[in-house]
Amino acid sequence: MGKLSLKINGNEVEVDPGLTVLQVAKSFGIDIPTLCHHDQLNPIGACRLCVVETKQGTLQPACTLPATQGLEVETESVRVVEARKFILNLLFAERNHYCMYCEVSGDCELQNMGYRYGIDHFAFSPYQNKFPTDFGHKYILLEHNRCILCRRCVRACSDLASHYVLGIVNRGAHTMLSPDMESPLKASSCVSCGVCVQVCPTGSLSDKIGAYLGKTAEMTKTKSVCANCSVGCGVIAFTKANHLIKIWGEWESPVNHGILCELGRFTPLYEKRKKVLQPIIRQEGTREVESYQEAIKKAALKLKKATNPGGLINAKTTNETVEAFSNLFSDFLKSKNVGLMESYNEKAVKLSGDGCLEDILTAETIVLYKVDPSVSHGVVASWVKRAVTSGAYLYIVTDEEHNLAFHATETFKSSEADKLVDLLGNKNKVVVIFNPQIEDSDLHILAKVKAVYLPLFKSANSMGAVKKGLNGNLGKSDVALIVASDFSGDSNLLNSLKDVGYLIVISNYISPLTERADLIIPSATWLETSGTITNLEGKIQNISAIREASEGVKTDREIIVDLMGALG
Amino acid sequence: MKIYRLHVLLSTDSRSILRGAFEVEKILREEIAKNGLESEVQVLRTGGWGIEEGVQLTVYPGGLVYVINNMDDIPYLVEEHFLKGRPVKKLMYEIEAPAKVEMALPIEEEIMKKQTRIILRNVGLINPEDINEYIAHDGYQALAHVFTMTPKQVIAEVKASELLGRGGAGFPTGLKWELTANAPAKPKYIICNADEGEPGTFKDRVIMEGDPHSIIESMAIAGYAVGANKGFIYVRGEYDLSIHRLNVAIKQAKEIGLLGKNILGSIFDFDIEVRIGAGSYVCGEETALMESLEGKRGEPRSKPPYPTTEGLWAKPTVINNVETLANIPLIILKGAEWYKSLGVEGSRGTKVFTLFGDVNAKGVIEVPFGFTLKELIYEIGYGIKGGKNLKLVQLGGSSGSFITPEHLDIPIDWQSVRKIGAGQGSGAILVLDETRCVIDFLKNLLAFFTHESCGKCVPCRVGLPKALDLLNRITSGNVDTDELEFMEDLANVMKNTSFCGLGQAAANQILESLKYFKTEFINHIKTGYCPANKCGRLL
Repeated sequence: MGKLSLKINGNEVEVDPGLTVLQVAKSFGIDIPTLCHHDQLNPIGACRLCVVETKQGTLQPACTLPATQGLEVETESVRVVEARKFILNLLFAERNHYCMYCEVSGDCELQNMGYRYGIDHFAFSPYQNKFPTDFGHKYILLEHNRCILCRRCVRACSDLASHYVLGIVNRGAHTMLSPDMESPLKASSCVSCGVCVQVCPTGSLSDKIGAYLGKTAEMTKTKSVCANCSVGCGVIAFTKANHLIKIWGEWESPVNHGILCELGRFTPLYEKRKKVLQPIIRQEGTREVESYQEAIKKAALKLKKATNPGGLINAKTTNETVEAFSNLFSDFLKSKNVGLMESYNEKAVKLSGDGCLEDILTAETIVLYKVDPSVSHGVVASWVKRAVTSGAYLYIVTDEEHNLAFHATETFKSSEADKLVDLLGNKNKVVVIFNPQIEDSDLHILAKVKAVYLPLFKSANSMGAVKKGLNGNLGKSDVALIVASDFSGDSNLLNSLKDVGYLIVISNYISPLTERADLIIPSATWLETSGTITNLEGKIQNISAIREASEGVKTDREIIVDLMGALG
Repeated sequence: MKIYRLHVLLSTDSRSILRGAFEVEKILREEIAKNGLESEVQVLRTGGWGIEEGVQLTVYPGGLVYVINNMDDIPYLVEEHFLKGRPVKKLMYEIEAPAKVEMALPIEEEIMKKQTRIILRNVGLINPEDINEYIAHDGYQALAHVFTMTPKQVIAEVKASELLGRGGAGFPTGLKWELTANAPAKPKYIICNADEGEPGTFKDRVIMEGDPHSIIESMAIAGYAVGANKGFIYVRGEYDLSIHRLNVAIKQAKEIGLLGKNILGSIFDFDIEVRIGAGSYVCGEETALMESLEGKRGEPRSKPPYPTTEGLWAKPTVINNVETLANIPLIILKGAEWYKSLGVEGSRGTKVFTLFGDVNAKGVIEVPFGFTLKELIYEIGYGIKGGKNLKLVQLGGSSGSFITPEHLDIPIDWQSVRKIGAGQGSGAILVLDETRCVIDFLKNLLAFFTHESCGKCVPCRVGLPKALDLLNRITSGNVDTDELEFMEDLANVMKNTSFCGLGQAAANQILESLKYFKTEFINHIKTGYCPANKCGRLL
């Protein structure tokens, strides 16, 4: 189709068809104010702030007005400005918008609009109906009295994250936001993905940590990738004075399009474990603080003397760390005894070829084979629910309770998996999501299906580590080096280390594993590390240090390189 | 077939039922039996004539209308009229005004004299719960006839009739059908908008309660014309009887193959489902209705896209008002040319009005377009109660427009009404006499709109309570006359920026009140004078 020509503020412009006036204006640098509009969400034309005046003299909301041939609009005419002022006056007078008492003062879009249009007093008697406050949720504060009913949160919760928790109840002046049709947020089906907080233009939805720690403008923004599971969601981290204050999803990320899960958005803010700050040596029941250089020397000495040195690494560490770790053992210690804290079925890893997360959104049939992404890979669960909402079939194979069973077309026991295979025979665009730790017998079943396979690896860089040839547990060894990262150690791991004579642990936190260790070297967490990680699609992404590590604490890779130096 | 001497038509619309129609029927039958007249007098249930008094019994031959307000009168009536053949004058329908008008004449000669009943052709005459009576009055003939035409011909016929939508906007029905028929997406849907929420409007109810099959037939015709196989009737939840009768009608039509698969042996399938509204005024707005029908919160959508291309479940949809649809069978049967002979240029056919307020004869009436308000109020409505003067007519319900006495001679048709900046809306005619207070009236209207605002857009959701607040301050005398200008500015913004017609119409009520009755506002503020003595305050 050809271009359309229309006039904005008297200027003739040529645009492609299919755009709204707001989009056209934006592309020509004309700023039309908006409140309910959000670039990531479908426009609903609720706030009416973006009205523009047409040649015919009507006021039309730019966010929903299609740009058509011959259209002429004025974006800041006298009538437009007067209408906007009235709308802002009405909004300010609707609920509790006394900015000086609000924690997001300075970050508030309503307040910004107030300044832009010179709202300097309440034109109507304010705060007409008092609404409850809902502060019981673990992370989120919901203050109805600061809500302007723009419904960004409702749209984000349903259209983007597909959780369908938030909605609107009552009508007219009593209209209010409500989770699960009049349940407190705490008791609702909210999965704490927090996208509502990210899109809220006012102080109505905020998170408990971020809310009271200053304005966004005073914070440092760092673009990075979440390392809490293998999806690898793009994040923007906000820090102030080296403190992590909030994490947002990165809208431009091709992986998550801005959506996060509880693990990505809130868990890192609530990390309460005690960090290891200095190297510690255990000798005959006592623990002594050691200098870093001494600790490295000691570790190198022990490893050198070992008859069968072994190494184990957390799959959360970067590709660069994994590389250095492999080199340390192959080149410096001449040992093949290296393992990964996770073990995968090699055949299963091979099965996952070129599948990517986008495939879920375009799938016609989705199979969740013995995995529940809602527990461990929240964004995958969102994508699955979104696909189901737009008509995809969902089949679940599980022997346990499954959080997504409600969305499933049909749920099968693992003994009935053959039935599913038959059923999938005449389905198109099948995506199978599975755990690459599955047995050969399961693989045998899955291999019969013509599909795109998506393996839900456990950790941020499992794929990267497996590609480097690391997989499965550590063999017998007398001296072991463990790059634990933030892993605390479980009974399986601790049991397998029973016979190790001397245990060196590089760890972020004090944990049962460090309790067992003979030598502990502190390491920087993923928030303090830069490098690359490979997500479950095989996409290599950069993570950037969001804050600086504590003084004297180095990254896993630096420690390994120092060990090489000491060995070299 | 049994031949009776007398046929008694008992009005059983919901209004009559509330006034004890079934009890009347029971006593009537007992009395008839007591007098041994079972084989001579037949009692038939019908819809209502649209008369707002008591339970009506229309006795044929003769067509005399009795109004039963007291059950004790029934034995006397049966004995005097049915047995002895002496019509009972004192029980006949009468109108108090200006001098008593007795309607001791057959219904066709007096009550219906000035009316032309096209849409209400069967209402009050047939038993709405018996498909055979509808068929006996040429029912479903139009449906049978369209199968001899192509869908395009059906649409052409409707277009040629110049039928305009009766829901309020007056969109050409034929064009709506054509746009839907031409939309490529499938399936298509037919919706009958029976969510009659406009205060003071109850014409659709009278049609659904009196002649439900006409809606079913018309929807099937519309389905054939546009290529839809599924129809929904979205009925206002309060309309219990309408819901019941529509369901009965659908069941009966299905039983004899007038709905369902292969209607009348054709290849055309059509099915209808009744969906019940949950009491929201804004769901009468077509896109909000569709949202509600889809199971979502009833709020209007942005237009475009229009329902003809993206309606119910984003599929092409014809949505027509009950009254609009009721026209269809006659247009098909008698032809567009006949239909165009009724009404005036640009407004063809007839219009059903609900006449109420301070008027002597209230009720549902049907006249061709072109009658003036004066004729409607003073002739068909027998003037204003107590011989008072007219202050104001609100035409088209709460969303309608104010018409002041100087415009009474303007004919009610789309273009004439539009010329004075008004709209005929749903067809409600609310008559207010000189003793009414316009601010009190406006407060009531705004309270209604405030309650019914869906809460989606700011000007309506917040503007309405603020405007109501201002009005309360005006009647308490705590404001300056400058505030009137502020209220006008607010109303203008609401009118210009509200998302849907609700906020725009509400603002219009404020603007029209200020336009025609500014002095009354100023009097309230300055002297506390209220013509109705309603907004009293201590001076």
